[in-house]
Amino acid sequence: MTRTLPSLLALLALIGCDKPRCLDGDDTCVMPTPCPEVTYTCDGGYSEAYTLGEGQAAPGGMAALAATGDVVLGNDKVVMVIDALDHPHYIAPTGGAVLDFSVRGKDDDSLRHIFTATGLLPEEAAHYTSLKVIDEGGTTAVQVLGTLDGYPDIPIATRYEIRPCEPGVRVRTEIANGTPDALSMYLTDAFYWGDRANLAFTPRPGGGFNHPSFGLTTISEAFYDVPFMVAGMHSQPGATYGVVSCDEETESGFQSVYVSAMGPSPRVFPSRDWQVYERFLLATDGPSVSGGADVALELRDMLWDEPFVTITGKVEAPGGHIGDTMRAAITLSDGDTPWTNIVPNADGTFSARVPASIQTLGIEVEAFGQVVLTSTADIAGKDADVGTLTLPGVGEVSINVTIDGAEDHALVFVIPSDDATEEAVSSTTFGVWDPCAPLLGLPHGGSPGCNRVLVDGSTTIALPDGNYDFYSAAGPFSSLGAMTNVHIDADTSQSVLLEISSLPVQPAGTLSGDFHVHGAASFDSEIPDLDRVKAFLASRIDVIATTEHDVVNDYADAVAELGAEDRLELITGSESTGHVLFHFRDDYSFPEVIGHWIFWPIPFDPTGPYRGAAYDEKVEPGMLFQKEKEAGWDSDIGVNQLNHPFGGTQFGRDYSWASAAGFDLTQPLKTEYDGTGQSLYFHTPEGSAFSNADYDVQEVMNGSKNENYLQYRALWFYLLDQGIVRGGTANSDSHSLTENVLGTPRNVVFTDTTLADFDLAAFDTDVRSGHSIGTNGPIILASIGTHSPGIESFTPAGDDALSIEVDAAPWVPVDEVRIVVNGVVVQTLTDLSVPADPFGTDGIIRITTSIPLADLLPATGDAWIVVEAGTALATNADLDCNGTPDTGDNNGDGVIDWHDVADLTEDPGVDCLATVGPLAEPPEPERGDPDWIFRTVTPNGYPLSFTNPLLLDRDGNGFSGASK
Amino acid sequence: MIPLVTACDQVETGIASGEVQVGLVDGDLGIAHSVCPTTRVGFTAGGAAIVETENLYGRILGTGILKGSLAISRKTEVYASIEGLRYDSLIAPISSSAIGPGYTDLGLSTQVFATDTYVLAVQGKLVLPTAFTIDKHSWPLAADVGFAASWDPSRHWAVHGSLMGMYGMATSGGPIYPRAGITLDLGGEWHATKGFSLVVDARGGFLYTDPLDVVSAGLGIRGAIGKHAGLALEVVKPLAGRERTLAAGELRFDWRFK
Repeated sequence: MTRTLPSLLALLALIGCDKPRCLDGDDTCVMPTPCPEVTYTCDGGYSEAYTLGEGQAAPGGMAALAATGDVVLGNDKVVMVIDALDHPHYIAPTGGAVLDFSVRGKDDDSLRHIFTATGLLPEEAAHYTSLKVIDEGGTTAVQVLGTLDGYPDIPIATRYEIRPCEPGVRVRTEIANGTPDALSMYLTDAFYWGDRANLAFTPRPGGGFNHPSFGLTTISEAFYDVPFMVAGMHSQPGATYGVVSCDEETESGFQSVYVSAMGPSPRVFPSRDWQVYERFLLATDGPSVSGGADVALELRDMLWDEPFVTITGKVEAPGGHIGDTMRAAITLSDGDTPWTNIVPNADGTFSARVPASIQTLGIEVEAFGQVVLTSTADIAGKDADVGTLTLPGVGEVSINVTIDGAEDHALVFVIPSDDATEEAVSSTTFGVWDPCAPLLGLPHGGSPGCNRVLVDGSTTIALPDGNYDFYSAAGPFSSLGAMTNVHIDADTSQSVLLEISSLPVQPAGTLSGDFHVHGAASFDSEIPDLDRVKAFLASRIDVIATTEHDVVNDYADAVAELGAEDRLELITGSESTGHVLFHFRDDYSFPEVIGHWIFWPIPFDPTGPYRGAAYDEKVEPGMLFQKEKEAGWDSDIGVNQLNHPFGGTQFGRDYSWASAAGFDLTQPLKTEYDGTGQSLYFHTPEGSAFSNADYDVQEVMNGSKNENYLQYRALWFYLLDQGIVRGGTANSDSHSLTENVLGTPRNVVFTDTTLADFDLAAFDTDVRSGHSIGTNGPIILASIGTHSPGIESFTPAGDDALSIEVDAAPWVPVDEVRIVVNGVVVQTLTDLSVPADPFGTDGIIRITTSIPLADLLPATGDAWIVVEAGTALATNADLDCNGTPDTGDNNGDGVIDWHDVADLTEDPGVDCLATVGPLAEPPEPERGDPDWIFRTVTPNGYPLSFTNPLLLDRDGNGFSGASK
Repeated sequence: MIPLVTACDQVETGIASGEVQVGLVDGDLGIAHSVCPTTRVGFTAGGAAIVETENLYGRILGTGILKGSLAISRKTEVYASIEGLRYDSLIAPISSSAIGPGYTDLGLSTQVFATDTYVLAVQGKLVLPTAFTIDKHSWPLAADVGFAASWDPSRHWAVHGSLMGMYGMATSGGPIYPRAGITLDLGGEWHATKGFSLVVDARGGFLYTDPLDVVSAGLGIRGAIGKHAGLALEVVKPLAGRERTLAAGELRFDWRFK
């Protein structure tokens, strides 16, 4: 009987009984309850739906963004927030999508967004135009009606319904093709994870967390059918989410760290045809996929008569590290099909469901990202206790750091001392993200993350056997604390003390600042606020612009909890990050976004949409500036920064304005707008008081690795050559403890204001004016007479000279100083002193020199000078002929040509290549070299700093660009 | 009034006559049939393509159709086509395709006026929703009715035209999306010999999906093989209007019984 009913319902649906109810434009329509086969009962259950009013509490969590006007749909188990129609988020063109989803009472929202779409293109997302809250007669639901964004003739309607006792929300979507054309339709829930966050798990052969990679042109190959999808949020507090179809036994979709999509299989959608999709969206508390998989199996039992059994057991590790300093995960499988993944409780116990069809259960336990135990259990389709799973022993290390003799916040890097240990302990998180050696904790969560540990006083961690080095620095201007070749044995304890001294590297009269920093409020970060602020403190930075993607966040609570109010100045800002693709160039046929832009200060609005930032989609930069100003950005005293101006895309969204606009640096910018990318630079969008060029500063260094420095610098130099002067900045773009190190690189701003009596307007004025250097270690003091770098030009005297002093901590190698005049390196100074002991405190001053301008400048005309210091830059060439270097001598044959392009296997036979890259970087140092030591606390980076330009108005009529 | 000898009686082979039979609407809605009743069976292999790189949209449609007609009198013919195979492939970032039976037509044509050079017929057909594996939930039903005429002023030349009204709708629990429009066709045939002809058509579609659905040009090469067999290769190229098809064409083999 239980099998017959779903079959009968499916047949009824096929012959039209489950017809769409809300596709004829009638706003009074009511869709039926989705998933009628699902039944939950409990005592004291309730449901509610209401529009969030001013001052009403909204569910909390790292990703919570509910704002006044959004709709709350809750019961005794879960709370879901549907964003208001005029509060669209991320990729969705309107509200009416799932913004927050948490377990009742847990404040564990870790969901970025779930929206409905029928494909990948922007016009295939649901554009809702009406929203109705239904809370009467025992029915609690939200119903939204609209059309596809680019197809006014394709109506779409979605009903979110919540019932008492249920661990999720029932959803029904109806859609009809009112166009005359057949379309390829994939009616789907798009789960926007955003990266570094939720990891999708699907039960299928070879699956689990393992999913085929794909690009936008190969996405069809990444589809597969699965009974359900569950995504674990391993950084805590967080929830696990999942979806189970109520219509069909399997769902089809693709999974990535950015987006998961689940729905009925893609199909030809003829004109006039329609489709109904019903599913159950679930949420459970905690990091374990098994919580969600348990509910999914429960639902499938109701829907498809698939019984489940419960497996219990316990994981033990010598020393009792489970759930404390050592994180284990258990995968239960049927053959090569993993069905669930469990993070055991703090005491090591676990319980999880698997299908009752399993006879022999596969058990696999991971610790430090590596499989440490495998076994099987004959369960014969019955509940079973698999007993105690005993893991190999691990060592224990207590780490402490002192700075100038006192314990303080510090970030410690744990690095294998030898290749054997590195090979033995290198591993990934469920095969996702880059490997860590060792993997002490989730790479993008709190501490420990990857191989990095935040300490403030003695902190104990577990470590697998091996030899390890421990390094820490209090930012780039301190000495390097190190303890090397510490042997860790299983079941033994060690102590590590790292002593760091402040050094007189940062000049007096400066404040250091990082103007590009992310935390959990950003869609691609999951580091808890408290750990984020600890990282602020560990970096010894003075000023931070907190610049979450698309929203504003306030770290005040975390700062107060750490008593750090007097130690650093936090400025609330936001990084506008385009999500909705659109056409803004006539000379490029594919839709794009305008890259990333940062604004500060923007007041934090705890109850407003985007927490005070502007809605930023589908506008040119000039209009974006206008919208941010209208949202609260103080353009009079604030700063507007062009971020990482060249780069690729993430899930088809452009990182970078110059790349998206297609600027050709071999040609001058067009001053008359003609719709082409080259004319967009100066264009003023209609309705805006700002042109696209009205930004204040540009990132010249972004990220600890400096990987695209040559390209960012190329744009900056290109603009300087044309007399378009913007201050250059250097920021970490840090999202977690793992990738970019917060404060590396950073800006050293010459300013009269101080941390004790901080004047934001004065500070920002100096930032806008380029009164700063960008650095990840070396400090360059450059001047001509009384003039220092900045965007103000001056007329030098005939006998003036360029004075240069370069300082750096002893562990920061400085191999050369480059003097760039009008974009060309005219002198390279290599006669620099080398500190005797990189772990010492002496040898800070590397060079002091003075060079007559006559030896540097062309005979006549305006000129600009930038000074750089650090490692010699790798040679790269411009193979696509757009004026930016793009490819290095990657095959080492001494010639840069198509052979060096990673994605080319044969000569394209053209002068300008369409496919280029990668850029070459300075060679990797040998273990123990000074550059290697630098890399221990600046992973994959190399020493680099630059000054802002010295603008020489030699003819006395104003600086007008380079004379070449 | 039907004279003893009409223009239709002068066709003695299996060669096709009338306007280009390639349609752009499912079931060839709006396409007039030959005004000359014949009894034939035939097979048609057809295809159409849409290529819109800028919209990341493309479509390849392939069809295999069995056609037949039965002259039930000198002036009246019933005809049918069964699209036994329809392959529909949509190219998009997420592509999809379907294969299965397509649409079925049932039609009737009857002459209302005929001389030795002129023929005027009233025609109509019903397009039945038999694309079971492609139309998942709604069943499109359509019909056309109108006039088709031919004028054969000489042995070598003929002129034809038609005016057809069209109506289509979905039969399902969802929106029915009724559509109505007209198709106007004017064309000519040049009979080089009794066994070979060229046909050209100018066709306009209005109001069915847009005020101007399509303006298209059609071209066909038709031949006779022996006394009974006919072969035709015909293409239609949309030139203006809302229609997105780049081009459509078909290769048709007929066997004429009488």
